[in-house]
Amino acid sequence: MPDEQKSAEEKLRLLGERLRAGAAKIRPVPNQVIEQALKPVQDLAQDPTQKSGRLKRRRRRGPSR
Amino acid sequence: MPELIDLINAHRAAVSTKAREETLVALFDFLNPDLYLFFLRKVPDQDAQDLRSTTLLDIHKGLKNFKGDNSQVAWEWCYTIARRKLAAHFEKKGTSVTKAVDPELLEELASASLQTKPFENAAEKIDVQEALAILNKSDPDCFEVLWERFISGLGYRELGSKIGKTADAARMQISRCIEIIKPLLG
Repeated sequence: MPDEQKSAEEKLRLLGERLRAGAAKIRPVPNQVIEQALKPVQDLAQDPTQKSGRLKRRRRRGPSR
Repeated sequence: MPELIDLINAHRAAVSTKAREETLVALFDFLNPDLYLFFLRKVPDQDAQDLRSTTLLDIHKGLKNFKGDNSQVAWEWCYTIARRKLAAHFEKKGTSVTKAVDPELLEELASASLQTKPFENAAEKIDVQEALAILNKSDPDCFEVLWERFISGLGYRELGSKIGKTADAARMQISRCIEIIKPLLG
């Protein structure tokens, strides 16, 4: 492979690293996306009495005989 | 540099709310640049940001069913979700036209990287500017293969399968594209 071409490839690879670093800086993950992902966990943590669907169904049907 | 599979496992192992939040932020921050650039190749900036966000949420939702045990499988799984998101986006919009990435935005992203990683020397600055010129002066076909190879980091085999060619043919296409563009760089 000619030296010049290898150099162009290296430059493009370097640009790739720069674009990733730039994206991390000016296009960060919005807080609401983090909050939305964590929401079900936080809801359960705040409401420890919340039961799973299976338990709720069991309760509605009453105890098994 | 952490490995994707380690970040996934750390998040799965996290028990406390605080640990779940910290590991989730680390995982999302790690995936964010690659996913955003993946979408940016195909759609305008704002759509790329939205698709990136919804893909991250889908990845998080799907983690409980993810069975992979290494980073390569994890990346493939994430990109499968990203490609589905993109297909759904194009279906909704009734188009699959790929938009060229705005050269000004590329320059903005490259400049923004200086906030965390200044140029090591003057030559590096010139190298980055030349790489931007190579991309910006490439025709759409060349832009696609150069982007996938050097920005997305695909291997020649993956690139070949993506564009319907062998790995060797993909390698030759990259060489041709660089040859074509060299005289235009002055």
